[in-house]
Parts: sequence; C-alpha cells; structure tokens
Amino acid sequence: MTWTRALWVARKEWKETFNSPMPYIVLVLFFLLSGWFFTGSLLLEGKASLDGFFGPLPLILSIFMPALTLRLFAEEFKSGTIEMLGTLPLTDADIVGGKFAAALAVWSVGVLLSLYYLLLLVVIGPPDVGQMAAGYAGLFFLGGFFSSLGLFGSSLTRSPVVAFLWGFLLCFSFYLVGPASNYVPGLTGQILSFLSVDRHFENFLKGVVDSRDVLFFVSGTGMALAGTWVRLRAWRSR
Amino acid sequence: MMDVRGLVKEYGSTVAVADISFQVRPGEVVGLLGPNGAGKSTTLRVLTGYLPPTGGSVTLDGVDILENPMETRRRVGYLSETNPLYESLNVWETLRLFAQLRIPDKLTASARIDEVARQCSLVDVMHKDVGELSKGYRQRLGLALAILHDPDILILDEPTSALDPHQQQEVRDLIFRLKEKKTVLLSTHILPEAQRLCDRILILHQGRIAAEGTLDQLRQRLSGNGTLYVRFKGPAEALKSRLTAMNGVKTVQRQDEEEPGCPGFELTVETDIRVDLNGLAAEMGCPLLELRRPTAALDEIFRQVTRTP
Repeated sequence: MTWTRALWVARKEWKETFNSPMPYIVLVLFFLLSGWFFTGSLLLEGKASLDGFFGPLPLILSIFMPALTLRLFAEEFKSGTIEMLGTLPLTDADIVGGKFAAALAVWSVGVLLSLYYLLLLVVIGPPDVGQMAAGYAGLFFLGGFFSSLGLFGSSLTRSPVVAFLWGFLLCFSFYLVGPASNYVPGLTGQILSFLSVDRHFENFLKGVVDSRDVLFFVSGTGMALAGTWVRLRAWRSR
Repeated sequence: MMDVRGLVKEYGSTVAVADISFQVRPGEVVGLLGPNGAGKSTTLRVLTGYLPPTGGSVTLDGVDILENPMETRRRVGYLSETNPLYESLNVWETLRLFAQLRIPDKLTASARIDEVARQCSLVDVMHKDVGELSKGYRQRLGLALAILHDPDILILDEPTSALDPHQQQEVRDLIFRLKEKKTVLLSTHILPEAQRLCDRILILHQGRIAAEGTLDQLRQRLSGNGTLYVRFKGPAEALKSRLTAMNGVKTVQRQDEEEPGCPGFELTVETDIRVDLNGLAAEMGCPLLELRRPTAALDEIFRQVTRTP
C-alpha cells in the first residue's frame, strides 16, 4: 500500500460521503443518543465524568458504524464503479486502506464533536483527565474495529441495506458475546469473554490502557481489513 | 505494442475467452466485434489489468501486465461498457479527482483538465452533477477520464452503445480525432462504426477469434479469392461461351444486365486470369467495362463467421 494512493481513495470517499445526507443523519442521531446518556449520568448521578457517554458506546456504535460504512464497497459493486477503480493505478490494499481511513476520518468528526461534553465537564468540575484520555483512546480503537467490521460487511454484498445488516450482525456479535459469556461456563465462556468488545473497552474507561486490549482491537481490525482485501480480490475474479 | 498470447479466461466452468492471440501495433485502431457473450468485454477487462486471466500472457511493449499492473494502468485509458461514474460529484470535481491521482504535477493537471474538457465538449456542463448528465455527456465524461492522463493506449468497450444516433455520431467523431494520436482497441457491435473507425478487425465468437484482418482482407476471405465479377460491352451468349472455354475458369454465371448490351458474369476461377480477360476483350472487340472481386458487406461477414452451427 502506498500512502499517497490510499489517501486519494480516502479523499474520494470523504467527498462522496459528505455529498450524501447519511453522515449528517448518523452524526445527529449519535449526538442525540449519546447526549441523552451523558446528561442522564451528569444530572442524575451528579458525576463529572464521561462514563455516561462512554458506557453504552459499544452498543450504540454497533448500529452507527455500519451505517457510516455500508456504502463504501456495496455502492461501488452496485454501480459498477469498482471496475473503474480497479483500472486506476491503485492496488487492492490502497483501496481497502483508503476506504478504512475515510471511515475513521468520518468517525473522527464524531469524536471531535464529542469534545463538547469534555468542555462542559471542565466548566462544571474537575474531571479525571487521565481516565478521560484513556476513554478517548478506547473510543478510537473501538471505532476503528467497528469501522473495519462495517467495511468487511460492505464488501460482502452489492446491496447497501444488506451491507448494513452484515455490519450490524458482526459488530453486535462482538458486543453480545460479553453478556453471553456470563452464562457460559468453562473455556467457552472465557473465549466469549475474550472476544467481547465491551470487556476490552471497559478497561479503557477505568483509565487503564492495557496492551492486551490494544492488541485485541488492533488485531481484530487487521483481520477484518485482510478479510475485506480477500473479498475485493474474489469479487474481481468472479 | 500490445501482444496477447493464448489468452484464456474462465469463470468457474464457463469459458469466456478460449485461447486467443493477437497484436495491436502502435497507432493502430483495432475493432473487437462479436455478438453478445462472445467474450469482448472480458477480453478488454483482462487487457486493462482489471481481471486476472486464467491462462496466457499480455505484454505491453514487452512488459507483462500481470507482473507490472501499475505500469499498465498508467499507460492505458479505459472506458467500460456501462461507464460507471460517481453520481454525487460534479463534472469538474470528477475530472479534478482523477487528475489528482493520474497527474502528479498540479499545473499540468489543471491544464490537462481544461484540454480534455474542450476536446470532449464538456465546458458547458463542468459544474453540473454527474447524476444529472444526459447519456451523451456521461459518455463524453467517461472518454475524458480515459484520456485525461494522455495514455498511449485507449481501450473502449462499446463506446457508443445506448446512445441516440446524434450522440453516437458525436462520440465517433471524438474517437476519430483521437485515433490520430493514440493506439485504440475498441469493441462494438455497430458495424458501420467499426467500418469507419478501425484499421483492423477481430471478430470474436464463443470466446475465440473467428476472423481477423483489415476490412478488405475479411471481404476477400469470405468472398473467396477464386471469384471474379466481370462486365463487357458485347453479345452475352458469345461472351459466355468464350469465358467458359477459357483456361482456369471453373464456372460462369450470368448476372443481371445493368445496362442493355453490357452483360455481367460471375466467374469461379482457379488461376489469376485478369490479363487473359483483357486479351479476350481485345480479341472479341468487346470493351471490358468492369473487373472486380465481389465484396461482402461487413454485416454479411459478421453473420457468416458468427453463425452458430
């Protein structure tokens, strides 16, 4: 992969994404929902922390990230533009990397806007800066992992709706295995617990940046991107 | 020069292209003709480097396109049959976006955008969304994107399909202007288009090359080298009996008399008897008005070679 070429793909996706109403709708909904949880925690519990905002994010993002990534490949397959993209001087890795970078960039807009909550907390009372920084790091890794799963879901089909459902199924599965592991004994339970995004994200929220959690998100993201790359190659050879 | 050798492309158990070989020389315009499903689009997609072939090789000036896909994509401009475009961008944004990738120098890129916009008559619609363009303008934009980086080779898959006759003519005129500077490989099933634009024609049928050559060569091949049409001014019966008696003539068939007293004959011959025919005309005092090989129209050639047994 060459960065300049991947960046070109990312720029194209950014332009296309923000030329459609989807990211605006998703971001507004995201803030309505996360704002509800944030203010609930702030006013009801009287805590100057972002726990209310961060806590439900694995569940919320398992819906919102696939909504942001659904068109990235499915739309190219559906409209046939993937053929045009495939005849430009770009490798498949450039295309996958560029699209992932674009998804992360769009998600970063959401993260940047959420700094508004942080500013409120600074005004209201002294927040735990270390804990919040770790929380934001977790948010970045979680967003990246779910983006890559959404991207993989989008590479499985030419229908954006089906792409969303695939993305949601994958992201939600990694969320669901957490609560499910409570009811499964033994090694299977441990494996399910290890696969839970909630468990790994929780550590960040406690202010702990554990290399095992980072490794989980990074390797999960890498595997999803590799799967997307394989799907793209398979699509060409059909 | 593009050299295609033993190219095979299979989709599972379906053979789309079955062992075809041909060359496209610099400055040449080669037409790929064939009925739907003959393997034209698949062949072109392989040549652009988009589809990996199942077998065979494609080289561009000796460089294997599979081993150097980036090099191929830089040197080739491609217009696909469906001409997919990014609908949410406008014409200028589309050209600028592709120029950013294709042309590293910003000033050159900007100048090139202006140039192709003029060449493809897109100047009036530069700020229109691609989704709002007519089919003719979409096709022009597709062509503009294909030539934006000034490629050596243009691969055009049915560039005038789905256009009305006026739009077809506009796109043909544009290709006609481009052919002065580029090597062009185009697929079409519009035969007059191939006739007007192409130096050489390949007819694909069921994934194989059924016929290849210039239009004249194809006509000769299908009309048969052993056929001549000849017309004299003189008595029909006497001429027919002398022609039948000539050495090297197998059969003589009387054709319609276009002018009174000027009968025409179609001869099946074994040897070149054109000089002898001149001699016969002089000997009988019957001037030779016409002597030619009967030619088949391109559509007749196409029907003949793509006839499924």
